[in-house]
Amino acid sequence: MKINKESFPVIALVLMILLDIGDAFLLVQATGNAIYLTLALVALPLFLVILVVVLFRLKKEPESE
Amino acid sequence: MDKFTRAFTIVILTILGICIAVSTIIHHLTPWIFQVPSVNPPYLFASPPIELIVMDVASLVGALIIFNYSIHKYGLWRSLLFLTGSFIFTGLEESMWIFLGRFGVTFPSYFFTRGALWFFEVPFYTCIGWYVVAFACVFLAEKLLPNRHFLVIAALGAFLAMDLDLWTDPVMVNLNYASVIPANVGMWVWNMEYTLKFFGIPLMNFLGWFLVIFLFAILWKVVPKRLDQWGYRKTTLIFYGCVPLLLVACLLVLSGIEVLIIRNFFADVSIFPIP
Repeated sequence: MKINKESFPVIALVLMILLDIGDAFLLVQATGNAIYLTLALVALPLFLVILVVVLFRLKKEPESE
Repeated sequence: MDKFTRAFTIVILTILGICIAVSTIIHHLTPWIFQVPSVNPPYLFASPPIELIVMDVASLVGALIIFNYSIHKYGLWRSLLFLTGSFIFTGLEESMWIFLGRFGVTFPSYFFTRGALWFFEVPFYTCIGWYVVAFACVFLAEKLLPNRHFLVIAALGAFLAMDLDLWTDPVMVNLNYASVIPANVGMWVWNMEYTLKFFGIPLMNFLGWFLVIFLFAILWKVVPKRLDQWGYRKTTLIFYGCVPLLLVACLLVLSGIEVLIIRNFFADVSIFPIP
């Protein structure tokens, strides 16, 4: 499968967000305080919507040279 | 690759490498020079040295993914301006607040607790993380609002980055609770008092995130546009010459807001404190 280079910045950002969510999970596990994950879940929908919109637009755009 | 770009690549990466090497040696071997606080930082795995190296390498992989795209889209010269410019600007901006607070010039600020490689008093992975977040968020803003004025793009990109930090910062400063080795602090420590806090983090931090990425995105959009008029050498010098001006702008705006507004009207106010 050929990955469109235009999606590289999105891939890097998603990897970074996943690592941060992993840290939030560990913290919830250690403290029993769900606030850290709640914070992530409050902020994430905005980001996820944006990422989906951008990926959808990238799919429609031809790869720029 | 033309002659200038080749020379520029060698010079800027050499300067950056020397700064990182010297800062790392000072931080680890002679910490008294920077008055590095002695604390027990958190580690999520049982082997701290390996974890520190993995963190630097992982951040570098993220940066290389972005840099690969950036070269494809903007060419090497402009890509290097973003990579090294954002690295230097954010590294100096954070170090400025850390040193000013540590040596009593301004109010106490914060410090980072762990890192393998350092750029002054900022871990390498933080500076590289700034690059990844700044580039990706400005990229997202350009895709969301195509053909809009660069100020709108810069503002949206900065807002997205700030939104990301809104939930990662509270996690990182409390990561000591998840450490497998006894730790008394998180990934960084906030020493600011009499200030407005949001999720337990000073509001100035989030304003700083917005301002730093907003200003740098403008610099990167505006200066390289004068390439035809100024040529490579002059454009590059002006680009890096603007970095100290942006640092002064950050210092004046953020300390002005903190001292004149927050400390006068919102001192000790905590919005959504984390229990």
